[in-house]
Amino acid sequence: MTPGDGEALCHPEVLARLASLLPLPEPRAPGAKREPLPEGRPVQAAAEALAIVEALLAQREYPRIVERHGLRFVCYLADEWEWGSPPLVHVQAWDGEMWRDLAEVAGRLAP
Amino acid sequence: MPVKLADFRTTEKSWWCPGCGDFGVLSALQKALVDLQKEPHEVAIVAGIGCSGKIGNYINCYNIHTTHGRTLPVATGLKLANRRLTVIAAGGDGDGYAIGMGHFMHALRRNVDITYLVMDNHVYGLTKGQVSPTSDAGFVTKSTPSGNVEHPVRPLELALASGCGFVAQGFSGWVPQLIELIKAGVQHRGFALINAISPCVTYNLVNTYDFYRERLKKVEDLPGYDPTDRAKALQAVIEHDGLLTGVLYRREGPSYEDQLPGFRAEPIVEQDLHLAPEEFEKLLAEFR
Ligand SMILES: Cc1ncc(C[n+]2csc(CCOP(=O)(O)OP(=O)(O)O)c2C)c(N)n1
Ligand code: SF4
Repeated sequence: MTPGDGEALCHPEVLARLASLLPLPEPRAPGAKREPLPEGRPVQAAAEALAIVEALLAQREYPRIVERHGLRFVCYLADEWEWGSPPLVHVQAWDGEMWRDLAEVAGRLAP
Repeated sequence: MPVKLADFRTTEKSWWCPGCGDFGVLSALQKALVDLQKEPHEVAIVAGIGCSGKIGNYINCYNIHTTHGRTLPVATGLKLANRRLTVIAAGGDGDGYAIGMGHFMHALRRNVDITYLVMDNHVYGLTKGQVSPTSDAGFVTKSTPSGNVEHPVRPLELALASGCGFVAQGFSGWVPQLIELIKAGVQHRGFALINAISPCVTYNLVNTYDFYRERLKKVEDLPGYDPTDRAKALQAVIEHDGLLTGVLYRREGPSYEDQLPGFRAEPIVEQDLHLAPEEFEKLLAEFR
């Protein structure tokens, strides 16, 4: 891992995109009263996105996989598998049979 | 100019699922070849059919994508035609231990100088999750909805029993060890089996990375382990239910092609295969 990987994945736009995919607040239980969206939701989601990226980068062995909020995050560092590629996080959801990609969130490399 | 990792990279977009063990094997293979300072034109991958068989698409060297189960006969022919090539056969447990089993058994005892890298995920990945010959008894798949009633093939035990001179097992979650195993296998003179445990994150939710991290042991950690003692290696593999990594057994000696007259050191393409007309006539006369 290089410092560039951390910078690219912790870029505010990357964290914002990851945060937008997080199912926060947790889904309502069936029949539960609808609560107004908590004021702090964006802050909470952004903090959680950063925590996920940090957990991914902390893993030293292949593969870098973290499961949170019912989603799976699989991370490849820059150039790890595709030549010339930035670091990449696959965000996956379980469809009842297998993990499927919801989104691929690419890190922002410094120009 | 020293060989760099970039020399073995391609721009081909990977088809594998995120987190697939085969990425770890590919990375280890590329790094091993760089450590050995092999030039891409000195290496040929002969790959079978399966997700694992796509490995040849993602590495910049010669690549033959053969039919299902036929990696070893094609790799054998290639090596005998050009002894200077580093020939690496690669495929899945289905490719090697099911449809390819007949070739596997004979490659083990024939001892042509090939490295055979099997990406063993205990399932058929490409065809979407059927039972494979290394699947554990009881494993539930689309083809075994009430659990696998067969017992698994034991590739390490088979290889040890069949006279293979280099038997190793690695894990795609431990890339640094796998790099060393591949280097040792390539440097071994003769057939080298490297069974690389390579989890399928999509169709095998039993034999996961965590499953193996909890259970696999390294032979270096077994007190007094001697990789030149075949009987002890077999005993250790049986006692640990195949969940051992490292070089389990190695025996030095000449390869098949070292012993056979007619397989000259220079590649066939560089040999003088010209036949003088009078020699040709003499040959014909024998059949008249
Ligand atoms: C002659 C033939 N029989 C069957 C198939 C169908 N088929 C394709 S890949 C495969 C098995 C794949 O499993 P494995 O070799 O373990 O590789 P993986 O996809 O798991 O890496 C099968 C049965 C085929 N392509 N050709
Ligand atoms: S199906 Fe399994 S073996 Fe095939 S690419 Fe996906 S994770 Fe790998």
